[in-house]
Amino acid sequence: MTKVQRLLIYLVLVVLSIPALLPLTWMVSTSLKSDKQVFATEGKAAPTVSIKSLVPSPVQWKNYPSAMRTVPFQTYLRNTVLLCLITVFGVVLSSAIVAYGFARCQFVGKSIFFVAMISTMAVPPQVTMVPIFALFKALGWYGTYLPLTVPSFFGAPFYIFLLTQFFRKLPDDMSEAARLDGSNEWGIFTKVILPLSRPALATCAIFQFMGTWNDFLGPLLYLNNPSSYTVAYGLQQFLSKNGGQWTLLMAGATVFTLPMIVLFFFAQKTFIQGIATTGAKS
Amino acid sequence: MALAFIALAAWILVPSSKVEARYPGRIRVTFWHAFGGEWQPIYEGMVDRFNKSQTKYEVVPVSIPDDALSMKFLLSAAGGETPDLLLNWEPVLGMWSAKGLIRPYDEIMTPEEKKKFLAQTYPIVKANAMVNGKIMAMIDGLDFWAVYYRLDHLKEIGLDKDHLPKTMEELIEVGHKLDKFDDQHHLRRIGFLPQGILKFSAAFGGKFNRDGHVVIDTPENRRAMEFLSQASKRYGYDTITRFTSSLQADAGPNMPLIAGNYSIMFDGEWRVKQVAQYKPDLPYIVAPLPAPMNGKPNTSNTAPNYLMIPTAARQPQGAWEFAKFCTGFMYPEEGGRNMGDMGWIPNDPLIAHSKSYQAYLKKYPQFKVFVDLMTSPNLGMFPQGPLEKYINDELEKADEMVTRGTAKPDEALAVVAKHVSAEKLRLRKLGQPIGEEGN
Amino acid sequence: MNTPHPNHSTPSRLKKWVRKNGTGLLFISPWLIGFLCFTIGPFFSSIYLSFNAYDLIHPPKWVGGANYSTLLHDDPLFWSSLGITVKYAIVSVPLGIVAGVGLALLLNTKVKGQTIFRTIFYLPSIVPAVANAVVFSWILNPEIGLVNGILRLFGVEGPAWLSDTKWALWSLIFMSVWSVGGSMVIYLAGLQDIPVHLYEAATLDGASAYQRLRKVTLPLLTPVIFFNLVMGIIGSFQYFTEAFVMTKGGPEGSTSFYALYLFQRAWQYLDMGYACAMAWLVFVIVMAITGIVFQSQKRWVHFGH
Repeated sequence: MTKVQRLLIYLVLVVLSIPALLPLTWMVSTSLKSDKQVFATEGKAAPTVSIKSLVPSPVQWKNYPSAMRTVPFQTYLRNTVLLCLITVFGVVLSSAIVAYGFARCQFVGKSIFFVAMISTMAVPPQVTMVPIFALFKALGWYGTYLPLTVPSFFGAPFYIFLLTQFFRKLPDDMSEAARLDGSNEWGIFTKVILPLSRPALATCAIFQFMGTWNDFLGPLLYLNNPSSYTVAYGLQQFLSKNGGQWTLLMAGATVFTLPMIVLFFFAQKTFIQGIATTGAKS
Repeated sequence: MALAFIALAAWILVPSSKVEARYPGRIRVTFWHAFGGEWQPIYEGMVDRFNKSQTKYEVVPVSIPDDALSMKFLLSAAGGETPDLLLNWEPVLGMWSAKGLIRPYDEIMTPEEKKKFLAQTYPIVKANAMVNGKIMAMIDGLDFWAVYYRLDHLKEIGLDKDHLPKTMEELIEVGHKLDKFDDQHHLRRIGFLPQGILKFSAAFGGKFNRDGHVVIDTPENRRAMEFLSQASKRYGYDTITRFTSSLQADAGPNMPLIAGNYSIMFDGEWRVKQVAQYKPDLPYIVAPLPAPMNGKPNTSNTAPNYLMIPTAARQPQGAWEFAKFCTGFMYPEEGGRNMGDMGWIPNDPLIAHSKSYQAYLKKYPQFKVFVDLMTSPNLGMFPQGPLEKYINDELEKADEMVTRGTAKPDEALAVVAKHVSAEKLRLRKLGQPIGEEGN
Repeated sequence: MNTPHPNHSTPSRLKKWVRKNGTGLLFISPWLIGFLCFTIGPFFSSIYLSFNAYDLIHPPKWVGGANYSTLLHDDPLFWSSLGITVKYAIVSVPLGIVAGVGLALLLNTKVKGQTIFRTIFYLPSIVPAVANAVVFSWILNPEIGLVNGILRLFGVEGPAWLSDTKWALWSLIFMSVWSVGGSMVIYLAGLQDIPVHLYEAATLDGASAYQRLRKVTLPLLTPVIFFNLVMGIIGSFQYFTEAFVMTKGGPEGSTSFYALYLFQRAWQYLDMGYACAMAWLVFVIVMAITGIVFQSQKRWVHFGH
């Protein structure tokens, strides 16, 4: 790459960053404003875009402590982290195992099973909610964390499909070599395929973590004790008909978003390791 | 870094010391409501007061965001495990009654209580609470609308609080005098913009319920539709769309009345408290909607919060005890305090005259207009019946199309009526319960 | 390849069958068990319900194909919501793929602050939906909004976007570009395991950067593009949240997406049988499209070996 090309790419990235940063910027800026500043249209006569309206003055740090006092944040955070860890572990492990079966094994009815798996994603979830709810109710799981965690150990079609695509892409020669060394399929899966697929596995983990982190409907429908709800539910509590505490909501949302940003920042570093491993071994 | 991480982990994993049942040994009454934001602590404070006021029951409130409340309730009902009490402000009473999802209070009240309820409650509250002669809900807060005038704006055209418009026609003209444009002829302020068929039909003598039936395409409702259409047309449909969709804040210190986007607004009773909170020195006055020619004075739509006892509730008696306390039925002083805290209008004159409520009115004198509206004979309400949600959605669509000039005001309601009867016919063919009455 | 095993299998034949199929079946068994326990029952019951009048409370009542025939013959909303959804899919799916691949390629070059840029472009997917909704209603505000402000610099008076029947759907498509971060991550992951030696070989052969992109990168990215294509199609037929939060199907029904209408029928009108019929009709449509896409993959999807 020439210096000019590099500079050009850099320029494009910086320009594209501006719209990408807008939602976060607005969120953080609102979280530091007073109620009076939110939605204020200064100088009503001439409506123009103003970057100035994004700057809070004076800065209201106190929105943060009051947001944290308004909802039992600690309880919600504990519930959320616990749910996230369990579902990420369950879903990534089980989906990887299943994906290996679809990608690298031969068995009777494979394509039918694969189509069945894809097709389960094409059914709008609103209509299966009632029978699924009835099933969990009959199992005595209503009001517990089980409906939110147990299914994740049986693989999720989205991740199975994604990992299948990745596993199929991997070259055969290394698994053949391992097979000649007397390794069985499980050994190939754990020792060859998984290490090569760290970027894909990390992607699944990030998606699942975020999905559980943001899901307020699932916990809300299956749990009845407010002290077992999650952070996403806590955010909803700032909203209301004929009102709504925008500054507190955005302070809560910022606290809510921060861990995700940090998590993503570190998780995506595995992508770089991915290059190194694949490059060296193949 | 590592220390911070350990501290964070400890903070997350060490359980909070919050006790679950604050009153061990009492009968627990589960209560789902939809109050969030600034309303939640006030409302749940009232629940606390109930729990302290007696020793038999503990009401456990759970706040469910209103978008998800119906779904959560319906799932729980399909699974046979419902809360004992539910507060919902969506138009669902007629539908849920017809489906047998909620139980009539008549079965739980003592005969004396029922007699007292029927005798002392304001008629419009009863109309909102009763379906086919049965008390299906207690009303915990009934919303009303009245006209808010910005006195500083009125002054610009030489009017004051003693010279408010006396007729709807006059109101419209005054409104136009207050419109403001900038030098590029962009509309910057609207004097008065009537919108919403449900809110304005009563002023034209229109109704959506008659003798327990839903009525839609009546000459009065059509006249109201024509009026709303004219009001938008005068500004230009596109101008109105742009103006209304560019207003961002519905509440808070920059809500339209305070920001001055409108000089005159037909708005709900909750604004009185909001203005007091965000801009106490705002010069404004509240007055009832003036009548149009051949129309009716003192009109408003009414929008209730329904307090309902699900059929599968395990503690209906506890739920009823609580409902009496929070609405103030049988407990006027408590009720007066609860209504004042939430900025609501009492369900009966006993509560309205209670010391606590009179104290509230003294603090917020503008609120009296709404209390007086309660006894008006000309009030409207949502179309109520098994298909109410469908009808409401259809009406909203027609309303929107007329306001935006894509449907003719004299035809829009006929289209709604046509859709509704087609839907009824379909459901009847399928053997679904849509109520005994035809339409 | 897979010979069907006869019913009267002798022990040795069974052994052979197990050796051939056992490992694979064992690997997919977590999904298979979950499918049998949690998924298939609710599916069949919702198919059954689509032939019933069912209001969630009373026992379902058999009505034959009545729900389906009403949908196909007497429900203009069904057709209009299907049309809106198809329109959305046709524009937003390719747009998402082009934007996602483009962004991933840019972020795969070794520029300074690469990790920070990746995080920045993923940010809109992290920010909670409530915050995003408010931000976009501000960006698209006809009077004080960013978009119309920029258009005004060029002397153009922009439309009322989310409140304009002609533009509301386009506004939502425009918004969907912001959530491209998710598929960007998948493409980035896909780019990581393209073997370096392939690039080296191409460079030695004198291939330009563009040729390397055409001959090496894109072909090896096709399995991931295929994945995003299929998921994009399925996802846009279930597109719900943004429309529910931003427009509630309005103005005048111009963003009344299929999933939105289905939700309304199921949970607001308590017409679950009808909603189930809607669900299975769209299922057939989505599976037909997905089937065509799957058939086409032999022509353009490369697995590199």
